[in-house]
Amino acid sequence: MTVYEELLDVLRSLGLKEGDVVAVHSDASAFGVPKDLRPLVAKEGVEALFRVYTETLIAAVGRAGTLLMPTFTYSACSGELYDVAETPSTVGALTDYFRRYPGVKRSRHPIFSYAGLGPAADELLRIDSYECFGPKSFFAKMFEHDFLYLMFGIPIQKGATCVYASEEKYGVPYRYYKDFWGPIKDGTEEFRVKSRYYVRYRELDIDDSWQDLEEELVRRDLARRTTFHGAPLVLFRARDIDRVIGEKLKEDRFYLISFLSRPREQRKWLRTARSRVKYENVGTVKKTSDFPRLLREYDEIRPVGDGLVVYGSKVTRLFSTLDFFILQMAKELGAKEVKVPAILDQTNAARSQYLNSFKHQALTVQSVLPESHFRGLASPTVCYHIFSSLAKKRVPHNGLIFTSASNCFRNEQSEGDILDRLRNFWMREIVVVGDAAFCKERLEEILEKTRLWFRDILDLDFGIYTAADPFFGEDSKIKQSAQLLEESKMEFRLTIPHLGKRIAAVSVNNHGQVFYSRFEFELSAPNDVRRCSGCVGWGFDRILYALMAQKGVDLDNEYYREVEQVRRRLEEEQTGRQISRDC
Amino acid sequence: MTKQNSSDIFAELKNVLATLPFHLSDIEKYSLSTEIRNLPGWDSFKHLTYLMAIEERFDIEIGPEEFREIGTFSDLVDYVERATG
Repeated sequence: MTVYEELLDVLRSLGLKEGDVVAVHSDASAFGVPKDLRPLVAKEGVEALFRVYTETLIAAVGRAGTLLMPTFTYSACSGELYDVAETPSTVGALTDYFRRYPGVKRSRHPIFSYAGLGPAADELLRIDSYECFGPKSFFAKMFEHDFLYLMFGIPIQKGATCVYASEEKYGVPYRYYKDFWGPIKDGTEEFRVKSRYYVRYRELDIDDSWQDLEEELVRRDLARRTTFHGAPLVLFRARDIDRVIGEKLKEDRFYLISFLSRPREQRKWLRTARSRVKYENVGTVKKTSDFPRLLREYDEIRPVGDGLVVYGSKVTRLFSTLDFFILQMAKELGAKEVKVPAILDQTNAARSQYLNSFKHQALTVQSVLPESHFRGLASPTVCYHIFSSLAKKRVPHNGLIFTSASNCFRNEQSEGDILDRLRNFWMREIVVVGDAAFCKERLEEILEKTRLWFRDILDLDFGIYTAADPFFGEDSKIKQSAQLLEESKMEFRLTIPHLGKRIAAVSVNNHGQVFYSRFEFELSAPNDVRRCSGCVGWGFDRILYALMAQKGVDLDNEYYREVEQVRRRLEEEQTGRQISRDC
Repeated sequence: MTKQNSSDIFAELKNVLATLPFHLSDIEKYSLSTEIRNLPGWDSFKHLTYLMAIEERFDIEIGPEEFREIGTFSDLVDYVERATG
């Protein structure tokens, strides 16, 4: 019996038959060099071995079947070009041989590409979304059609990438989403895409642990296992492995991993309330070696006191552009634009209870004249004014949305670059007031719009984190834990490359019902409807700081010109729409 | 074939590796504990090609189990020592 016949027999005994669609994950070296093939390999090289395996696998599924192999390159993870025709597979020489086999097609995915041959290949390899494991990915299609996976020379532990797709589908506590830029070349076409990857927290020292999963599948007769020249072959259906993972993750959220060190501490890290990244975007960062000096010397930013700056016309224009994008969001949400003062009077300052929680950040305002009794708080936020204006009023059941931009003041001190922390900063807020569902949905909508703006237009390197306010006082820890557990505060933190850190520039806050009683306003709704308010604040100075740190200090450079062009294009589109409406 | 000691075998294993077109640098820095499968860009093609070159150099035959089990240069030295001994 030839190796070809022997392998075909083994594949048939596993249940692989003509017409099947199978994705083969492999380690072709696991079989060694079968004796019968040694003369051929000695004459033609190792690729002769791969040819025999490939042709046997093709024969096993026949002309009606489809053979697929992973040809992962992880190119986008390092921002490298993925050339569909040229970039080698990094997951085994057999897979790289297969992608070059006559008639084989390859998908355009810049991280997890597959190669395929057969009638189902076009549908499976077509990219509907550049997400890695999500509901439109290759893996989701495999689940949808309940196609087969074959581990060829390896156990599930070493190669069942589809497990990651199930981890994403069911949600695991040790992963979050990260978007990478993937430059792609396909023939003469070159383009860049964003690819979303469900990645592990860097803080964890864990590894995949899927041995039990394989045993469970075999025990339930959902996977068939045999050996070929001593190495394992395992065949199973996509839906079966996904279903078992779903069941097992319900029982134990850590079923698919092992802790390589400090298991108790790591479990605690995952379970306890802490600020944690929920999403990351890898933006294009222009490395500037001497950023602090360039920033200091840039004439557009003139320090005029401790934590106080005067901006030049270019920064002012950039602020107006940033504000334009936020106002677009506000318009889409149907927000009313209002103007607010920069001082909160004593009554409203007391209502806000700002001093109870943030005394250390407060800056007060008073007259120097002894006969004047006016006392106020230099506005720390915009939303307090909105709530003050609602005092003693009833908010309609279907909710209200306001937006305003203003100077805000907090007693913060910069320890580094001038723009790091300012006492007087510029902020726009969108404030939502309504029932809990209304506020939650609007806040999520704003968060998503901001994410897309930062990712696709500003191309910023940033993360979205669960966060807690820097409360003051004895119960500050409790308040912070509550915020973190409820995920009622999320922050967009932008990367400052030369400092190797991220700074908060946007915060999304769900206040619950606390401001209804403090500011004495009501919601026109039955008593059992949960009242809520929320706000999103964009700190222009901090966005400016991150932009300059990531894209260069010179506001005349190409990057800023492109951002400005996007603004102009959007403005023109709006004008066009307006004119066509007027006509 | 004359029986060689471990250090001679190890030196020869590195020599064979250097003759293959794998573009590996700093081969002289590899130690007995270096994991062969973790060498830069290592894949099954390189693994099979290398072990077949070792077979030819030492006139031995490496079985499928060893193709899977050999992890470090130390494992490979032991195997060659046993096979040529």
